[in-house]
Amino acid sequence: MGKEIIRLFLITIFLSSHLFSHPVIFKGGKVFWVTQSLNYNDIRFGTSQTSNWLIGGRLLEDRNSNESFVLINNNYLLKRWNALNSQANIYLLSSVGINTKDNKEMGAFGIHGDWENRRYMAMQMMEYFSHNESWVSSTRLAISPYTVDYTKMSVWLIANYEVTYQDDEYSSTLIPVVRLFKGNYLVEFGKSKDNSFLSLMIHF
Amino acid sequence: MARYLFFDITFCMKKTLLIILLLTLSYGQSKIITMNNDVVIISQDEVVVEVLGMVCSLCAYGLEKGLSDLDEINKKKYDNGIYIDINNQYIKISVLKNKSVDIDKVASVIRDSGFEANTVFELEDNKVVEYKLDKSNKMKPMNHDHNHDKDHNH
Repeated sequence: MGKEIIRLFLITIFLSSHLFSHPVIFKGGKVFWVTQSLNYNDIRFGTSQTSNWLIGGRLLEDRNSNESFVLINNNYLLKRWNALNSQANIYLLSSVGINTKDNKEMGAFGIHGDWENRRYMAMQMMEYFSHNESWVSSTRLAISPYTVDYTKMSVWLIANYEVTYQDDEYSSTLIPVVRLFKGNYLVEFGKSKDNSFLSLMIHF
Repeated sequence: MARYLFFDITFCMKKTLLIILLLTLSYGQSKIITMNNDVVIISQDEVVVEVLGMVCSLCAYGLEKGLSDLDEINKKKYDNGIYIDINNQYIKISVLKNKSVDIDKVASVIRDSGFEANTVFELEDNKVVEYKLDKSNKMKPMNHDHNHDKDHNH
């Protein structure tokens, strides 16, 4: 029973879109993203139909249970504030799909808000997962130790804190993350006591 | 004594450089504008745009891609015709000789990339023309008369 709860918790964490730092990209743009952790392989592809809406597919493999999920993602930019040296956004997120092992359907719905300037970033997201009736709150606070121009590599140090509410119980995890990006390539690496992950993303 | 001599030499060098810069600008039909904290040289075949919300290079990649796809862009200059300065929140667009780029189209591409064109500058008859968005989302010149021969789209 304990293992099952941990498994469901991990599935919830990794189904969560918290790593998806750019839920919608430029009109006509495409995004390809791969994440590998000790427990999961996660491959995503998406295309922004407009500057407000990205649709994409996702294949998620649980390496412990050999279960796979196939999902369709819809990310919608509800509101954006562009200012001199900063930007803030509100997104609506949804994923629907099936577990390929038993064809059981699942869905996830969420809201994501963020603000960033050249040095600091704050992000908050809430998501609901239908397959285990859980809620996940993800919070990210980040700092860039230095600012660079367009052609150089950016570095962000991120504190990623997640709280899951399921079956009247709360659990939480804190993962320090390093994000590097240059041009249209992004790499993220996170490591905590119990977990680690590596993400690669490209816009084109 | 040596200190004053050094000061004089430095002062003379600065003066000479300023004269060379002014001569170059007048010969090449360029002007200087200030963009946030930067001094920007704008030439006859360039458009300079102040872009709001441009906070990361990963986000700005779409801007370069979208703008460089426009027909009038001189892709041999800068990166595919586009120079992006994230620190001072502006871009420079290099336009092909004897061509003009539609300012509203530029603003639309910037919007599709997720940002906002706040102010656009271009050189017409060696005069800086400044455009701002009006209420109907069209770029309108702020200091422009139409006493010129150049064909442009507004």
